[in-house]
Amino acid sequence: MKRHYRIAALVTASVALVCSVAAGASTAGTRSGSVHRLVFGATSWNGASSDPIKVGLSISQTCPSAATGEYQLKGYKLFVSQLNKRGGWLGRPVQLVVYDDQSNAGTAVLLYQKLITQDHVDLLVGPYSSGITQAALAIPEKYHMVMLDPGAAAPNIYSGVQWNFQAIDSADRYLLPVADICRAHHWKKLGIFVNSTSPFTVAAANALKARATAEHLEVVFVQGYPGTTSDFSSTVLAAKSKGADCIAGATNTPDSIGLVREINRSGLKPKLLAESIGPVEATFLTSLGSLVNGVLGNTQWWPTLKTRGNKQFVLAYAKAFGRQHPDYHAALGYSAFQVLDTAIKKVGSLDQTKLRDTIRRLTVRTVAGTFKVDANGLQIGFKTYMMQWQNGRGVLVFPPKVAEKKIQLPYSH
Amino acid sequence: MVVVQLTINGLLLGGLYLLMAQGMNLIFGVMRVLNLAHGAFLVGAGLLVFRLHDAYGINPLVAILIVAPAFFAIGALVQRLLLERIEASGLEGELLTLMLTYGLSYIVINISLKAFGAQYLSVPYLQSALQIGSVTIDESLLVAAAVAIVLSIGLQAWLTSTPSGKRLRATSQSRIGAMSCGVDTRRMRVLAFGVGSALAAAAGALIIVVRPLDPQISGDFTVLAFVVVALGGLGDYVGAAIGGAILGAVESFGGYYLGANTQAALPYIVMLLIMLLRPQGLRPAVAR
Repeated sequence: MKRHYRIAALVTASVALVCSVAAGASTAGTRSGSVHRLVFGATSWNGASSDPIKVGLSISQTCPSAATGEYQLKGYKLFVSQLNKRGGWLGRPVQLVVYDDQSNAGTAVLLYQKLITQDHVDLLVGPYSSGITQAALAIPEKYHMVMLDPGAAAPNIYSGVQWNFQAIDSADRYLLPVADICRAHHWKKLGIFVNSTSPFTVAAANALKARATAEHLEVVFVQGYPGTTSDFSSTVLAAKSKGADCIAGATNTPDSIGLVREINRSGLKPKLLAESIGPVEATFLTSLGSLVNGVLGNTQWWPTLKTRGNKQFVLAYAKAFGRQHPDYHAALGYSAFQVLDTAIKKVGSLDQTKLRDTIRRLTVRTVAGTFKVDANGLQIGFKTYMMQWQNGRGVLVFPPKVAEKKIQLPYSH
Repeated sequence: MVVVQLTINGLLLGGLYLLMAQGMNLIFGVMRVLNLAHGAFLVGAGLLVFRLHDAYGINPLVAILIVAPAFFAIGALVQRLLLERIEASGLEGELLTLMLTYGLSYIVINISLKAFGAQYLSVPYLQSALQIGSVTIDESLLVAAAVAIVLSIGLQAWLTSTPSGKRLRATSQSRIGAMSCGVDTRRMRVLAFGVGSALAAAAGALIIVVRPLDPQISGDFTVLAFVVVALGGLGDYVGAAIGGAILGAVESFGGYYLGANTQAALPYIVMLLIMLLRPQGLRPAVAR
């Protein structure tokens, strides 16, 4: 072989090696073809039966959604670890079978197919993000397996499903508090920036617009932008002349950072600035520094909430994961297993039809709040909250009855 | 006044694009190598600057003095150990080089993912704007544009007025001719790739102040840098400056009048038009 082809082959092999190292799991796993499979569960078992109950999932462990996917996975892992110490389910240990979907919807579909047809898992839990879940949920629907989805807030993806259940508050409620707060302060004009390439953010923006109209607020602009936008100067400049009192951003994390920066630079001075996804993430503070102060953000959970077992959950998480703090994705992952746990105890078996029918009727108090779904599998129990950055610290401010601190308005820098 | 603001925004954005493209332009100008790992170097350096700022409080402008030499060394090693070994010339050589730099980009991206994680990170620095009347001037873009201009002038001065710069230009014009004049062309190529990588790192150090970075978006910067370079005429530094300014203005005005969704597509529409109508770039080939 010519020398330069050997070099090219060496580079290609190096690329493959580094990719597999970067995509590798942090705990012991087994190789299944070219896909790295993580198995997590009790390593020793003294129960009646050692045949584990396998719970399968794919989650983003690499690529853009990895940081959030990791939180959700830790929520799952924590519950399974505690469950096995209590005796597992039906006298059997519980084992997680985890694949990395690389934040890719197509990959997630293949992995859920594999989990069912090759790994023969007994149960399923959902991946992270509405986009990935939207693709993946077709597989449990096809094989009539129950799947709880704590990572998919977009309501439209559940249309027509029978076996999937939304285990997170619906995205169309994420920004509704903005309209309520504006009305309470007698502010009349609302502007909305919306990441137009995410079903979840579009749902949040549309619902806010409808709520604002119902509360007689004037929606003075709705500015869409693609999720890849890095320069917001023209977008914000176009909105500047509209005179919005309150501004809401239906955002994901990178655009939430870019919008806050540009709004401050452009001299736009809203009385309220709120964003859906972004403000609650740690990277929001590290990327913006003091600019975070006063920004409101949506959250589905908070460590100070007096939900069932929440305090113990926070402590157990810190103990299990090296003094790290959970975020709401971890809490929702944990909560999904709490629901499964309740359902399995009620049914007394892993019969999927019985589990489905039971979950549909269940009301379960979890660390993330009260789980309850409607006839279409959409979440109607969980609540939406707002946090605010105050003096470099995130605090819960809405609704007032659970707030740590009073909301600080108007927003100003 | 809106037109004035949009023009200023466009020029500043153009400065950022010039900064992004310089490294790729130098490497292509000297070696006719399209470095597909350019974006990966840029983002990797930017994330390193984030870590230096977050962990040690190092100012991003000062951090350029750390990351640029580091990436110079990395680029020089890549050229010396990998690219120099491609003996094929012409189309075959270009294809092999493209494949190699493409593979290299994935290696760098995955190293960055392992080292820095997959979340978007940015440095909270220069987050204000200067106010002149009713016009606002983004501080971070102003600094990025200023650095881009300084680097361009410095690069041009080096290439035209210093012995090493002249040797580099000689190598780019005729390898055989340069060798026959006693120029160590291999050393010149190593130098060019090293300097090009250092320029990418300097760009990354400033871009992470302007916008959040994540290793997965490295390819976007490679493409944008290529658009600027192609617009200006591959290897033409003044052309790249003009190309960057045009691209910035098109995005700025397009984003305001046509919306952000159209703004996102404009760089690629511009590239398509240039490739169809003026593939040699905006400026005719000039003797360098």
